Amino acid sequence: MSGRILVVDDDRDIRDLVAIKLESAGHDVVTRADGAQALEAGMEGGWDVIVLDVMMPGMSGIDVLRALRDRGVETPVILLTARGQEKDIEAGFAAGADHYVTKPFSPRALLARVTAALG
Amino acid sequence: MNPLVAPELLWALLIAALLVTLGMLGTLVVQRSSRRARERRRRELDGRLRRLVLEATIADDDELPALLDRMRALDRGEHAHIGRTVFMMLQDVTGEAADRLRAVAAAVGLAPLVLDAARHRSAVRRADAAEALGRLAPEGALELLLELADDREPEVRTVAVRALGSFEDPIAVDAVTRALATESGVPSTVAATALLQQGSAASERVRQALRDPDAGIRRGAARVAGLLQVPGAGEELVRLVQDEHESVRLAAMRSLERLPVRDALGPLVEQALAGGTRGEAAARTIAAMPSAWRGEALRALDRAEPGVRRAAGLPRREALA
Repeated sequence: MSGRILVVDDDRDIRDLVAIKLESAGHDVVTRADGAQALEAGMEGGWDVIVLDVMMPGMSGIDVLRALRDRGVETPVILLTARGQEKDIEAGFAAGADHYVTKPFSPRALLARVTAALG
Repeated sequence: MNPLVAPELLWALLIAALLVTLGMLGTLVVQRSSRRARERRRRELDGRLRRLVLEATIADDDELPALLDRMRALDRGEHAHIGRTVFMMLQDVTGEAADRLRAVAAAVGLAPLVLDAARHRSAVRRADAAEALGRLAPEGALELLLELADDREPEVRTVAVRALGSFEDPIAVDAVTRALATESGVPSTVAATALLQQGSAASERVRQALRDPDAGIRRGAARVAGLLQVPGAGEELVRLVQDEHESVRLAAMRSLERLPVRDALGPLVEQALAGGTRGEAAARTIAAMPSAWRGEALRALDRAEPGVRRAAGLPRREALA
């Protein structure tokens, strides 16, 4: 089952790695490099899953997620969080996240999460 | 009137100053140009090579050899660029993707450079090498990291111990455990985090470390034992509630919150009634014990000081009255 995925990470290597992995599994992937761009893209809608890095300069992933949920966007969101930042996980779920993956992460495990989120 | 300085000397000084200024300007221009050229070269390499690295990272088993062959055929500058990319990416990925990146690192000859740098006279280079050895894990990495964990410079030892966290070999676990020692020069949080990374592979050594003569090792092991849920550590943690060092007692109490043992209640009540920081820590641990066990212990805290009662979640005496 393929889907339209929005991938947001300020780290270009990680963003492109996630994109290439998801594309290799047949998904249609669009990337964004910061929170403001992510919010704009998220509001445009049409996403099946959003993969969202938490730690970004300016608007964090949690801020983006909260703003999206406040505006009624219910797309499943998978957060990418740093290891040892359990508070981010709590805050993420409180803001409406559906899943999280801890960095360093396995791209294969992330793909499995995305597939599960697509239902 | 005689001038203070001869006009010829003034001219010579002026010309010298002019030449120095021109020289400095020239150096600045050359530096800027070479930096721009390097950046241009890096962008150009990135444009050509990044996709190749990313493809290798997610490649299937049958696709990988051809990609690695393409990388082997590249020149030295290209290899160095790929090496830097791989090194950065290894910070964020695990599992199969990390294995692929390590294979890329081997194909571009990064491993020999890292292995050489591990014995460099510069401490900075040795520390960088320690970090790279942890991420790339080339053959011989463990032995070198064990050497670096005993380096004369504490900064190098610290990086090496952190890197050893990626290895589950008993000898790596032992080196990390020894780094918990008071005089090791390695921050205890670094060694404790490395042990947590080693996970269940560290369990047995951590359990033994609870009896170590060094208070730093006992304290670190006591803290990690609870986080790792080390089997058989409960009895030792109960004993450490009455350790001669307060930091060890506090660590044992925190771990007992995650690894509750009924026999700990007696020593915990004793510590709680002594009051102060350890009294409050003991009270918190008692409050975290299963409700079926803790009733009598909480009743014993009736005569404890207010801070201890508060830590145990008991109402103030005035409120009871």
